[in-house]
Amino acid sequence: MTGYRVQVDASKCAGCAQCYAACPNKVFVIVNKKSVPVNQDACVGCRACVVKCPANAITIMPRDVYAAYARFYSS
Amino acid sequence: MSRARVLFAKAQLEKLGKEYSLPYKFSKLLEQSPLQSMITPGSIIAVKIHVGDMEHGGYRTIRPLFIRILVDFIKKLCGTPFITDTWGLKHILVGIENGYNFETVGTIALPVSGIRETDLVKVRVPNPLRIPEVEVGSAVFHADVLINFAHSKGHPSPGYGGAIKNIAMGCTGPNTRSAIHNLEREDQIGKAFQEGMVDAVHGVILNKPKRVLHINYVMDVQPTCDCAPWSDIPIVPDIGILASEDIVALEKATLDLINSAPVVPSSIGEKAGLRPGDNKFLIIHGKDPYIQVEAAYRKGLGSLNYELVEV
Repeated sequence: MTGYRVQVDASKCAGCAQCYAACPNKVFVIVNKKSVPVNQDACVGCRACVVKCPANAITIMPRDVYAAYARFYSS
Repeated sequence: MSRARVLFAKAQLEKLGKEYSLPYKFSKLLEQSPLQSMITPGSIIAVKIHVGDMEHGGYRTIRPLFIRILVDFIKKLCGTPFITDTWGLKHILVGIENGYNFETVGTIALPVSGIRETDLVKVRVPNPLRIPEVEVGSAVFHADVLINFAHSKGHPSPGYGGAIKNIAMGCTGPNTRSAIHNLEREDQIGKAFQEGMVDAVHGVILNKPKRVLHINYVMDVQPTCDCAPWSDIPIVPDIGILASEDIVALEKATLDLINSAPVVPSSIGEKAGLRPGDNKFLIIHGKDPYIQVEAAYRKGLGSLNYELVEV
């Protein structure tokens, strides 16, 4: 199954909510003027938020998608 | 059934001489390709490549020298080339750092769909398998000719990524990519995802009949994508560069060559116990890459029957 880990660097995030607007699957909410990826299970890895973020604060890493492949590497 | 022509520049050096080395063979391949009839003076040529990952951990992408040879060839035919990739301006700047700039490749790099991925053209897909409408990047949509210059390698979602994936995910916008990635939830073997990619390919090439050349760079065949922030050693020895107007024939020929090759010692291929003849990416990623090839064939995008023509 698919799955991505979404991280927002709070020290860079200015709370502009462009990620919130760009995300087709409503991964983000804005709490205290910071973006928080509360709904990570909905992320499909399209990177629309990464492209939009003016602060370069968002990182997306595949999680389960590498599950089969990860067996070749030490954890 | 007629056999589709797939040109093949072999990486192996047969004799000591520059004309037997891959850059010179690649020039020869381009001369024998249909580009001479596709490119008319003044036409604008989009060259879609993958410029590498955003974090500079991956390094096994297409060597700029080969892009340069292609760009020079286009200029010789009086065409106007540009190189292009997706993810907006940020990725283009990363590409410049990764070695794809005017000095190295001889032309500029432009984002496929504008600085923030908003310059898109909606295209209805004929007889869709999964996705009825795709958003195509305007730089590719409005180009006269598309040269789909892909790096063949493994990928965790469809098992393998080459010519089909390069334009399915690389020439479309975030909504289309999202729709295709959503299909990963449908099954374990990547069938829905790969059929979604093929719909996207159909949408991208629809306004360019006889004006798309597909090229697979079958070198540094690493186990995962150029977008991953890492590279591992290739699973098979370098094979070469293949090109065809027929994307189905090209992808099948590429997969067949990768699968018939021996594995590189200490690579993931060896760790997985792969042998010549194994469907290598199916075993590594659990996704059968031939699904995308057969889906493209079913959609009428090409022939499964090919003739490999060595240059």
